[in-house]
Amino acid sequence: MKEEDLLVQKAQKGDSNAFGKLYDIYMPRIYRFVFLKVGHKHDAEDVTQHVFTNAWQHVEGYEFQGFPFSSWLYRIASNAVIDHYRTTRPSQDLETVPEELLSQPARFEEKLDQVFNLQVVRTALKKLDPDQQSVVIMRFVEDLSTKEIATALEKSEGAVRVIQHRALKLLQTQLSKTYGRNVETTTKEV
Amino acid sequence: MWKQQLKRFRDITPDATWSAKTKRAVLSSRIPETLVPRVSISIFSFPRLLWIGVPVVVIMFLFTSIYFFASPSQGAISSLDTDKLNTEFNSLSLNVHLQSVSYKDSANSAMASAIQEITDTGAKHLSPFLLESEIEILQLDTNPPPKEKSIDQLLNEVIF
Repeated sequence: MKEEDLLVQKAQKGDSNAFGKLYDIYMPRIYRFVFLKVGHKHDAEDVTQHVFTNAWQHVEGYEFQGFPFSSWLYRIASNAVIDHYRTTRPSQDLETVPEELLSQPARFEEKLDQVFNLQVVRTALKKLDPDQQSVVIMRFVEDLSTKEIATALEKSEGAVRVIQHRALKLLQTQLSKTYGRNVETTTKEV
Repeated sequence: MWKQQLKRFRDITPDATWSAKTKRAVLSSRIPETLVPRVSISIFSFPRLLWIGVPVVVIMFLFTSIYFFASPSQGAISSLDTDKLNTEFNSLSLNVHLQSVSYKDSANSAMASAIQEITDTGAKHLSPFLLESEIEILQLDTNPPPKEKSIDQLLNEVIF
C-alpha cells in the first residue's frame, strides 16, 4: 500500500497528523489551481482554506477508486471555485504576475519579457470558460492524466479531451492575436 | 512556447506563514476522534436507544401506576376515590329523579283539566243549544237584508 493511501486511511480514522501530512503534500497544488482560477491572492487563500477544511471534515466519505487523493481534492476545489464565483462579484483580474515567478535572477529586459509572456498567457487563460481553464491547468501546469482530470471534474474522459481540444484552439487564437503571428503549438501536438 | 509559460506557473507557491497558520486552522476545525468518547456516540444510535428507551418507559409506567393506586387519598387522584364518586353519583341521580317527578306532576294536572273540559257538557262551546243558535245566525247572514235592497234601488234611480 502506498504511503498516501496509509495517510488517507489514518486521516479517515481522525488522525489529524496524517491529514496534516496530506495538507503539506497537496496544499501548494490546490492553491496554485485555485489561484490561477480566481486570480487574486487573498481569494485564493480563502478558497484553499475552505477546500482543506471541507476535505478534513468529510474525509470519511472519500472512497478510493483507483485515483490519487488529489483528484478528490481537485473536485472539492473546482466546486469551491464555482461557489466563490457565485457568491462574489466578478472583477477584472489586474493582479500582476506573482513575485515568486520572477525570483530567478535575470536581466531587466528578460524579466520584462517574462512578465509580458506570463501576463499574456494568464490573460488568454482567463478568457477560457471554467471547465476549459481547469483542464488546461490540470493538464499543462499540474501534469495530471486525462483520467485524473475526468475524475476531478466528474466528466468522462472523452468529454475532457473535447474540452481540452477546444481550450487549446482558443488559447492559440488568443496568443496569435497578441503576438501578431501563429504561435508554435497546434492542438495536434497535445 | 505557451506550454513552457504554463509550466512556469508551477512556481506559484503560497505564503509560508499563511500556509502554517491555515494548516493549524484547518486541523482545529474538527474535534479529533480520540477526544470524542466512543461510548457517547454509540449509545445514542437508534437500536441502542430503542433497547434502553423501551424498558425505561415500562418501568416509569409501572412506578406511576403503583403510585396512583397505592395512595388514592392523594389530592392529585381524588377524582378516582370510589366513595366520593358514589356519593356524587347518588346525589346526581336523586336530582334527576326529582326533576322527573315535578315534570310528571305538571303533566298530570294538565291532562286532568283537559279531560274534565271534554267530558263537561255544560261547557259553552259544546252546548247543542248554543250551536243551533249559531247556525240560525249564520243562515240569517246569508240572506241579504231588505234594507239593503231598497238602498240599491234608490241608488239606481239617482244615477240613471
